[in-house]
Amino acid sequence: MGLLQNAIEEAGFATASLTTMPVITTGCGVPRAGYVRFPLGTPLGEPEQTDVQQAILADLLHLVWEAPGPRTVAQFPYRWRRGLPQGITPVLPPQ
Amino acid sequence: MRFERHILEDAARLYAAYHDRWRISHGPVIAFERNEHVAFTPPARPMAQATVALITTGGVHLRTQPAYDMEDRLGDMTLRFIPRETPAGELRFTHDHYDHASADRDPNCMFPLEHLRAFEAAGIIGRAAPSHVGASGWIPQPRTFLAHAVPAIVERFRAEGVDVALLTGG
Repeated sequence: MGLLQNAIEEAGFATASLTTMPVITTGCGVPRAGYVRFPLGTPLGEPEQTDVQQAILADLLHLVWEAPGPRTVAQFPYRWRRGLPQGITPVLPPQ
Repeated sequence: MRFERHILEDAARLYAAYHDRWRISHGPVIAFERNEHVAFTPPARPMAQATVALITTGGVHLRTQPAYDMEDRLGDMTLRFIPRETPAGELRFTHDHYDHASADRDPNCMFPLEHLRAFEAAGIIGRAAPSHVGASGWIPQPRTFLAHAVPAIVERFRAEGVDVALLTGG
């Protein structure tokens, strides 16, 4: 996804991506990304949590206009409410 | 529950290490690629006037479109364009490399097209683009994928006046 994002950005479109895997996103290098501490497969959060999903989408939009430069990875503050499914290994950023 | 703590400053080495692990699990078909140069395009107009498109590599497609071929070792590199008015109930997710049960139940978990239309109605963005993009995230040879996918997406976005693209993946 990071390679596609950069290619689209290079073609003249402003882009931002949502990632659940900040190491991969940072290692690949992208113009702008929001890191959400959610399981792989649910970058906007839980089903039917419209308020959370829309808040994340709004944050991602603001990142497009507010990121200071390329390789911006912003950590979004949302928490998975039900606890992580078994087998998921979250990747935490440094404190 | 086990937690891993990674130092993001060391992301380049860890990213390469992920590829080594994927080669063990998926075979030598995995190509290592990263962006040596990262582009940066400021948005062309204010958010309230911008045309916004979604791109997801989470395997989204219309119920009426062919599913992605998950049996192909080289990945299914085809694209699916999703019209902006598509109801959530018409969307399907075909992807064997992540658990898409949540997206099956509520496509907005991965592909928030309904919310983008709501943002347009609320005046937060100018408009949701006429077309949005679905792809399969299992792309072990990304340069081959990009060579045909990027021109197709760029042509569509330019024709439809897109300013901003938001990406999600599986």
